[in-house]
Amino acid sequence: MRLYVITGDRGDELETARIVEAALDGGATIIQLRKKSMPMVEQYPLATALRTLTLAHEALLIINDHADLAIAADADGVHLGQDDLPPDAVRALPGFEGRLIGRSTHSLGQAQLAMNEGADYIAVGPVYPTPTKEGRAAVGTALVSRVAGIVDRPFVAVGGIDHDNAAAVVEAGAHAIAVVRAVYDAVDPAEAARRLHELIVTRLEVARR
Amino acid sequence: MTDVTVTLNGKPRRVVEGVSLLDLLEQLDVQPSRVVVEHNREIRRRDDFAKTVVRAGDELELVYFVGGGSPTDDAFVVGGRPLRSRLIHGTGKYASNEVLAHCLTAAQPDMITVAIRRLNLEGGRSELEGIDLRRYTLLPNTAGATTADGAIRLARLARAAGFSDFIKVEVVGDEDTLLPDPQATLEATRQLVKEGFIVMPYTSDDVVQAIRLYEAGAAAVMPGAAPIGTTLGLQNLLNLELIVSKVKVPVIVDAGLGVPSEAARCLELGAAGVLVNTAIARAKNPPEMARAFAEAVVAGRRAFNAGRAHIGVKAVASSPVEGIPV
Repeated sequence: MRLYVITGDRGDELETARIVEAALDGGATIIQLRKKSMPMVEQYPLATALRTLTLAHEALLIINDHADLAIAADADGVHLGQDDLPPDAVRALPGFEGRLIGRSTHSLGQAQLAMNEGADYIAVGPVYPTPTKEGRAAVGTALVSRVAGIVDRPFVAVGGIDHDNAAAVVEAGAHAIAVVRAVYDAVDPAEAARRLHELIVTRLEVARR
Repeated sequence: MTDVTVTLNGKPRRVVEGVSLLDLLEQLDVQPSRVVVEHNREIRRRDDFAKTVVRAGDELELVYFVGGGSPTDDAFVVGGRPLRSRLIHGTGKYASNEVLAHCLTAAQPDMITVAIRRLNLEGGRSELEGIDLRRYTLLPNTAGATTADGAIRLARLARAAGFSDFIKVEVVGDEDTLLPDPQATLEATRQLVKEGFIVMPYTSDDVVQAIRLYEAGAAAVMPGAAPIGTTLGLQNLLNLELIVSKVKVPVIVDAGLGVPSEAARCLELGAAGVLVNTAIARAKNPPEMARAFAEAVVAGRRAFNAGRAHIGVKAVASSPVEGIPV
């Protein structure tokens, strides 16, 4: 119950929905629709399809950047980057009430600011170098530890995390992990999600002892 | 049969070698049902008294029940989780994290409450740097939600991100008093119970609403003593007593308490615990106040277990009256 899967850019509506359904079967609990190049006219039917799938799996649906799409598709919330609308402006949008706001953060200062601004959850990263965020320096597990020491709300570690390095991220204090490639681009997304989910839960149990 | 020396409640005592715990208790004129026995630092089950044999050098601790309560059967359990303290500590409104850390050290709470959507309105810090949250059972609340949907989403997020299965449902129905919206609170509680959450709804002191929340499957019911942050204290003691008598899950008095005596009063009348934030955070000396609240809940619970004396309407002298010249 701690796996946050973000969609990759490749794939049309059908292909994306197929991969998301597999990820949900594998245990993903939060899905983020993130399509940087897909026209909004195509993203809307995709978002409503993902809404149906996530509800059937008791998972959350978060929309990247586009608060209007989050409202239109009745998603659970929106994920905002540092260059997007400020959280309080989004929160005040008609129809947004009751929805969640997540915020990307790349430093301790940004994490603190996001909490002070009332983000419902924060994402911390990129933990490792990732082609999804090309040109952005990796923050490493050190920042995950420092954020874990101060957060009073849900947070996810994101960026370049896969089955090989996820254990180190959990050991650094993350309770949840967000991935794009490790599940979305996997040959068998359901199996990849299942293995990743299992690894997170096992590591958390070890950490608790 | 030879006598050997054992340590009984810290003192040496001669007993017959190989005597069973059951026989020893009989010799000591102690009813087995009235004690908890620790034998070489392990608690022995009553069923095992007869077959547990006492040998030279053994250490025995007999702990007597007082008024029906005991350290072992007086656990505070919420949603299957035993909690060491009946004081649930808040984390908001503190002048600094350092002050909060001192309060937590002084009060030694087990469960602390955190607002997922905490907006920083008063210039203080929202993050909890320097406080090891892993030492506590976190009770996230849905403060900031104004609809059932909003509260449900915050709860789902907390669980989906591995933050907590516990959720304090708090849906504000009126911005001025911050009193909860009864309908939305009930709706959110029903839904989240269905989804397997450990739900602890914040409610006004309405008795029927508390019963409905209990029926909906809440793991605990949290009626307010007075509106949040007012420190007005116990505004409707009768309703709290009625809620305690009607609701079969722990009742935790939340919000509005001002001083430790009020917390003790809640425990005396059978509340399982209290949640205190402002009364500690805004005291002149918050850590001292935190400790005072922690002591008050212990005293209150002890008094509840002891059972209060009968209330009479006619005076009965405490001193002997016979033989006193009139």
